[in-house]
Amino acid sequence: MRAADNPFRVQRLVRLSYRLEEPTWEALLARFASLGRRAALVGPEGHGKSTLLGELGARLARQGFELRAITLRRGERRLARPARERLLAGLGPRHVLLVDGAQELAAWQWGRLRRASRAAGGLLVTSHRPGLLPTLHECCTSPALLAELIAELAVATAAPLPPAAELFARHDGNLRAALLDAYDRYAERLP
Amino acid sequence: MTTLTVELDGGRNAFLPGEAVEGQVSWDLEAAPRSLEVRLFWYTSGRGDADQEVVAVEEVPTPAASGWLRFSFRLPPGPYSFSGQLVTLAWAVELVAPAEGVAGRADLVVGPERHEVRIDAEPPPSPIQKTRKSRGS
Amino acid sequence: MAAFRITTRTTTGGSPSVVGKLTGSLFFLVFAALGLGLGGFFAATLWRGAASWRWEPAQCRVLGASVKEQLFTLPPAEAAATADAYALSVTYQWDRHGRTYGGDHLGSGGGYRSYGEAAKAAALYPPGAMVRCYVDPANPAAAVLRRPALWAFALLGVPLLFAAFGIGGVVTLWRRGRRPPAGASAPRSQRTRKGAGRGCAVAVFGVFALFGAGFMVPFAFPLARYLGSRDWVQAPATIVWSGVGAHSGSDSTTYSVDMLYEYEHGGRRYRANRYNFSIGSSSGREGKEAVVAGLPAGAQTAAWVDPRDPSVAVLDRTLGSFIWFSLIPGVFVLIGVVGMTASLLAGRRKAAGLDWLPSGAAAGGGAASTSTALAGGGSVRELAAAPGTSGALSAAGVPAGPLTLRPGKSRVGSFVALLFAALFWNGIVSVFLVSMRSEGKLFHDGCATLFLVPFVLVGIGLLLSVPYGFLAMFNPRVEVTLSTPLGPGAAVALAWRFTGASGRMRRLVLMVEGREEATYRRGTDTTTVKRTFARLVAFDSDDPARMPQGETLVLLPPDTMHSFQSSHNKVTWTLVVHGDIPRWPDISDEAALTVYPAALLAGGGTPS
Repeated sequence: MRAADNPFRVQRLVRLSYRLEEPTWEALLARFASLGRRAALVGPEGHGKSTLLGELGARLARQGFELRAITLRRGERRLARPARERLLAGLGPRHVLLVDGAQELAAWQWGRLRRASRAAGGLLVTSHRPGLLPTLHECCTSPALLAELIAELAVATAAPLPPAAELFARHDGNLRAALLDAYDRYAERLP
Repeated sequence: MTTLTVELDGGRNAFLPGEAVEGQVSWDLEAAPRSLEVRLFWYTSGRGDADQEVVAVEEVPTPAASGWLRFSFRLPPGPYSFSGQLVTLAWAVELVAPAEGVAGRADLVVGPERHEVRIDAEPPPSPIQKTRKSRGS
Repeated sequence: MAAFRITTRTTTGGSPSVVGKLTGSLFFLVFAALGLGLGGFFAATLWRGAASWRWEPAQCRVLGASVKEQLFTLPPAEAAATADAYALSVTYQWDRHGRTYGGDHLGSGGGYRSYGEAAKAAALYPPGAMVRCYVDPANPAAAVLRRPALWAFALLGVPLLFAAFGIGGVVTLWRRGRRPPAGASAPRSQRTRKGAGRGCAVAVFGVFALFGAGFMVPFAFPLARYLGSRDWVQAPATIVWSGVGAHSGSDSTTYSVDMLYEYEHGGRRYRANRYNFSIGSSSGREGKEAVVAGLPAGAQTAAWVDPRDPSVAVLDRTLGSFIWFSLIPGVFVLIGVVGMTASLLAGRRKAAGLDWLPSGAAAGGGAASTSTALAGGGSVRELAAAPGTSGALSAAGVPAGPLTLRPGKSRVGSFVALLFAALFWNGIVSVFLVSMRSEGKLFHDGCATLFLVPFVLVGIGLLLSVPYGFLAMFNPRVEVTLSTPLGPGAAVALAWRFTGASGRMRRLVLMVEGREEATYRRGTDTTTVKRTFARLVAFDSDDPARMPQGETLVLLPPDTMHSFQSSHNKVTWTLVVHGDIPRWPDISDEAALTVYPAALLAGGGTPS
């Protein structure tokens, strides 16, 4: 199959929306406000933290906040100066900082970032483990969710896939890995 | 309403490497854009993150809120438009208002036979596999 | 066919950690400190020596000039160690404010290694001649004939280059940072700056080459002297004095053979103090003591004398093993030159809009360059122009004429690496085993024993693979030549030739494989997937007579993809050479090929 025709191509995966079961978006945003807009999205790899962070960011932007975002790579224990400056320069109450992968930062770096962010209107991070900030939402996955995403991506395509539950179990609930696995299975199909 | 369109001459969208791509762009924006450019570029999609490269640019001089312009690009010798199981590379001409973040696009195919090179079929099995001795590889 | 897929998960290279940066900073700081220290020392010395540049020019009358043979007048121990065997002495006088002053201060230089050089310098000052001299305006009784050369200040550039490299390194280390991903905007295309960082790479490699060249200079002099000594003649010589000179440096003491000997040539007596062509001193006292013990004062020996200037002689005319040390800076020069060439070639391709062609494609020029190794057991390959074609590159970077491929990483290198890994691993594991055994825990503490099992198994595996690597070292080697660069639809003659025991092969397969490769990064996770999309068997035979060498035609399909490379996506082509050898490791070599788009091969011009 042509890579561009593959329903699971990366360019489509990154556009999937986060399925918020409960509470509602409004309730989630209200809870974020009640936490002083200092909170974390927690969950293992491939559980939708980055996606949820992006969507919450978009809603905060609609509320009038200005976003400053950064994604930390694995092993990136400190913020390089240009990145830190872009993130922290001239912070005011109308800014919200989005930090994807905050668990990567060394403890002192995290502390420094947290202190520096006091001037900002908000700090929303994702992390593999709880404890960096009060948990706003714990990202969970389920076989049903995987099935729903597959259905959305592969509409009207005969599926060369095992049942979602099997795929889900094989990747320990990591939906990103499961969806890339689905890509590979589709890729091998004849054109 | 905001519209940006790219039309290729004669509705043609398949080309040989080295050929000229000609056509017309037109736009209709709410206000005059800060700048406006026509870009010839290729981009990838598939199992990997998208790569892209702008090969040529024609800038629209002092654009008004609406207008049209003819463009002409000479295609380079490569890369070809191609599709494998993991990577698809496609060409396009795009009219972009960078500051406003809006664009219109026309896709095209660049290949030795004026069509996309397909490399998504399975190759014949390796003759080496049959005789390979039992060792981890 | 999942069998052809190789998935690798790699950790994304983020910014270096603090420890990494500190280590790097230390490295660069050593450079900076060295450069600044040396530079300061040079500058201070030069400044003091350059005082006479501020003096006033005047006319001096030469009273007399002579050459002093220092080796006959200095105490023997001192004479054996001096670098200035002959000293120029000039007496002169000058007028200042109505008074006449006299002096014999030369100002700069004055010591010569040979009589010939000193005599030539003396000839510039015939008695009675008026020559230019320089008088101290503050003290008209002080004058010099010569001012120190100012080009010495140019030498300051070398330590300053050191310092700049060090400081620049520290600054970039701490300033470098990863940019956050740009927000997705509606336009799909993005304009990027081209060629950034290339100038920097050329500069860094240039500094490398300069350092190397600088350190090679001291080796050039002895080499030149050695080469120029072929027609020297032997003369009987008597040792006047001999001893080992000790020179204490900042951190160690070095030694030199100090000799003073006398010989006759053309009816004249000479003294010389050069033992051999090496300069300076080196560590290692015993060897020098042995030389000295063999040539005590009064000993009769033979000296090699330069017939053109008989004051120049050595006792030992061989070059000595020290010259091999010149290979160390030679490596720097090599890295620098190869790196600069590669950066410049990459830049040329980039300027031609061809950066999507793999970089190995440009490796046609005389210097061979290695392309990157594939993950998954790939090998380092060389792609070099065939001898005799000079590997001219067209403007578009396509090599003209036949290409020679030498597949295969250095097998000796892989064997040594394997051996080292096996020794290292097993060394560490055995320490644990021995200590557990001495504590009586081995086989008694089940948990600890079980913990060690996988480590021991890996160690055994490594040990078992060492003989395999050793045997593979003696495999036949293949050299493959392509008549012209490859392109879709182009027929190319592929010729191969084995050297070594190729008769042991039972079956030989030569094939060309095309692969696509994609890398995806999300959050902290990176995955790379490869897939083979084309496989052309060029040769497959079990006829022993046809294996050692032969020629075959490779015809890539006209509708296949040329080599392509971007940040996350690639199309690569590889020549696979597989030879079956019974009861022996197989030959399994790969060489990267570059498949060019037809328009480039047809001599199509560069893109607009």
